[in-house]
Amino acid sequence: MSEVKEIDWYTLAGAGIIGGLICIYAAVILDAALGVNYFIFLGAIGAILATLWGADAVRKICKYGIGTGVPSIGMLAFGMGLLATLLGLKFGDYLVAKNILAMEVVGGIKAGLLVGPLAALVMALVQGFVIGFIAQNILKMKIPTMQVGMTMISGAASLIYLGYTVTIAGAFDFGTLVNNVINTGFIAPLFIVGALPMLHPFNACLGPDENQRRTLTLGVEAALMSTVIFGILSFAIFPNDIIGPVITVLLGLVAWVFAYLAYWQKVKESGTIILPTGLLPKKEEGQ
Amino acid sequence: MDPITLILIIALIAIGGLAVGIGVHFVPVGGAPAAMAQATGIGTGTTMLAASSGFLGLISAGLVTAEIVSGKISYPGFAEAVANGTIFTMDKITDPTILQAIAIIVVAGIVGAMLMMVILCVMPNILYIFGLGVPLASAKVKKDPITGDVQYTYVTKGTEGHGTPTVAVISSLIGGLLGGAGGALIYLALLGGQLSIATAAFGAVGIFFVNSVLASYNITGTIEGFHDPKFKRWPRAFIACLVASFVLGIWAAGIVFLGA
Amino acid sequence: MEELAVSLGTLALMGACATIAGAAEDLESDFGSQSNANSQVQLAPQVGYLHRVYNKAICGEPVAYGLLSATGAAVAFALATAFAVNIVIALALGAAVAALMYGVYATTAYMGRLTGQKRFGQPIYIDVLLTTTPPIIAHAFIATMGIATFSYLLNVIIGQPFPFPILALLWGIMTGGMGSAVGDVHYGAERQYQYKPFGMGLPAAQSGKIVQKGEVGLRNSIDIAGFCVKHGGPLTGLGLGLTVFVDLWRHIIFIEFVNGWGAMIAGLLVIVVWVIGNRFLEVWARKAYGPFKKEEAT
Repeated sequence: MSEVKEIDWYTLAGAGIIGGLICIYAAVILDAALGVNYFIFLGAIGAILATLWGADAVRKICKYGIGTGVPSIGMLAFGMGLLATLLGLKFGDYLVAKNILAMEVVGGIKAGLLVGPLAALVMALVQGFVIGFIAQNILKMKIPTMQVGMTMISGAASLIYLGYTVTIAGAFDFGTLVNNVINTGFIAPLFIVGALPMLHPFNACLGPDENQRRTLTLGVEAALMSTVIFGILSFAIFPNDIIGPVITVLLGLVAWVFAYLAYWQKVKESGTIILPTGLLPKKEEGQ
Repeated sequence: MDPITLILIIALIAIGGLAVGIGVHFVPVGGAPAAMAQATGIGTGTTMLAASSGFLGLISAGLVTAEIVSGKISYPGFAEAVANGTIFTMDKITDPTILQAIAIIVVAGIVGAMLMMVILCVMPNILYIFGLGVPLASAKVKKDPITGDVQYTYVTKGTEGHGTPTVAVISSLIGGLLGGAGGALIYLALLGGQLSIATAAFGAVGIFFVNSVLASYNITGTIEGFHDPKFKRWPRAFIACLVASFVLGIWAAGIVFLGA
Repeated sequence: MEELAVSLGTLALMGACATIAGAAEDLESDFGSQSNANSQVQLAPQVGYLHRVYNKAICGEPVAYGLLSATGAAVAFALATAFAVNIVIALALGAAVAALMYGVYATTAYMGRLTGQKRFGQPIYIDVLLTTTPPIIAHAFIATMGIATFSYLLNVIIGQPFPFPILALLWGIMTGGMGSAVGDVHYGAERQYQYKPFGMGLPAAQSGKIVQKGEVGLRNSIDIAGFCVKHGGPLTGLGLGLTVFVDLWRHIIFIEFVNGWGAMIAGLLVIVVWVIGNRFLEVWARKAYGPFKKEEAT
């Protein structure tokens, strides 16, 4: 198994950023163009790509042992991503309000608004860079991957916020985020159910025989469960138009079954002894 | 938008974050070894222990703010100032009624956090004494600096102490004081910028997490409180949390500025 | 006066919910060896002590309970808003969804941790997975239901203005903090190392050498919860119940005095009482148990 080459984290970062942004934009633009909410599940796909990116970055940082539990890094990422994301989206709204970039793209969406997610991502990356710099140079953690890794998890957290916001509420403007996601309290699961798929894979798989493919498979599996949860939450936002949420929940469930089986397959392939039941295996004497 | 408002928001968030970051260093954290009766302190990770106490402070502060806004306890002018975003202007911030309202909210945060912290310290002690039959002792100091009790004779050989002796309880209370005050200040700063209650609350949670995680990176593992040699590392966390919270404050001020 | 009675009645209900949730939380973490005790379960195969104990490293208890409670509360809120489901039923459904999701996380963590250290020869037992996961889900359901319920009451009746899923997240993290601070001590220091004499801490050299055999056959995680229910679980419940009750009790009763400062003074007095009580306990334990070695002449 270990002969399989690991995917480079810059490759995953590229997939996360480009794929994530494309999915988030596609979800909102397609929905607006057709006047439906069927495509909100695309937001979750964007978030899953970002989760993969973040999970790999968490893996690369925490390999060195950070002196406290793995989950704390996810909390840090989502804590610092929140305000940066809010500011980015607010910036998009501000452009619309001031009639800058006011040409209409499709279905009443103005170009200024589309700047929001990009601005959010950039600000989150800046924020992560600052925190990474602090951790590396002021707290002197001496982890070679800290600076880049921190930047990456902050960006991933921002994209996960954006992706699942689209899944829950079908839009990424500041007003929707505040009214439909934060004031309803859905930000609480968004914070923690969004963070878990990023930090759980490495936390669950760590050890000397950890393997990137298996860890990332687990990341996809966990993110699909989150997708189902956010699909359920979006019923509250679209109570009269439940086709979009239903599509999200069903697709999420089906894909989750396949992901879980794929993870199980990876566990079996790894060569760990799997016993239906029984006593402890005999160890060689003298150990 | 009044520039003083923006400056005060950034300053309050920076001070609040700093208080959280320093407060974490006072909390006696034993982590997994504490749960094995192998080290002094409370058996939870640094980040989450500080967060647990700070969040009760945040809930208390939110409750008291609501009581003031609803008029159950009367601090006239506070509710309007929060509603129209003028609370952080020069004439409001020098108004004694408003200052008293801010004070009671911060104190509510402090009391909530200290209460959670003391329960988190004492409940495990009951379990250490009656469930495991071990006395409370610290291996980092020979004598308890507050009560003067001899410590090292009560430490099991091969461990670094067990339970949370009085000095660590007092230290945890200082930690709760700083953490609760920091959380309440951040909440007030965001609320004063006309963000919704939920946004202010969750923004405070996010900023709280950033600072407590950075502080726990500085501590790396376990700490017993202000008498622990590791406590001398605090200046690093001071700079780290101040810079990090300052940047977060700028984002928050940016949201407030663009919202105007 | 009537308002006060309603508030206090609600508070009593909240305290009860918190006590049940706390106790269930600790037992659930014992079933899975989560949080602190996990480090030993993880270490044991590396020092040659294979075992048949569940190894549920989802994340620390505070984060795990934040996850459960926030999910449960938000799903309940979504169902109540979208389909006008009665809130009690919605809370139960939300807690069920959250607990099931948590069960899946538990299985992947068990498989993942053992695969990650396969070189130490610790096998994955399918029967451990199948018999221990249902109790985990069941206890997680009780705890989530309790936390989500009292968060809802705190928001709707006591009037805390944060939306109740956010309150559930915060209370979930506090519940997990309480569970790993209080309950884990009983599991970690006592149940995992029952061969050591009662009344001593665990020397660092003994780490990882956990008890492998149970009263009958090999020790499993269900035995462990059966032991911890005697002391660790109830104390965790008591701790959380007291936190919820005392903090809001001093607020509700004394907020009307001295323009709000009464509640603060009462809170400080409560803290002082706890510290004094702790001091008495400490002195009593030192007298009753005595030192481990003689004091050196200085």
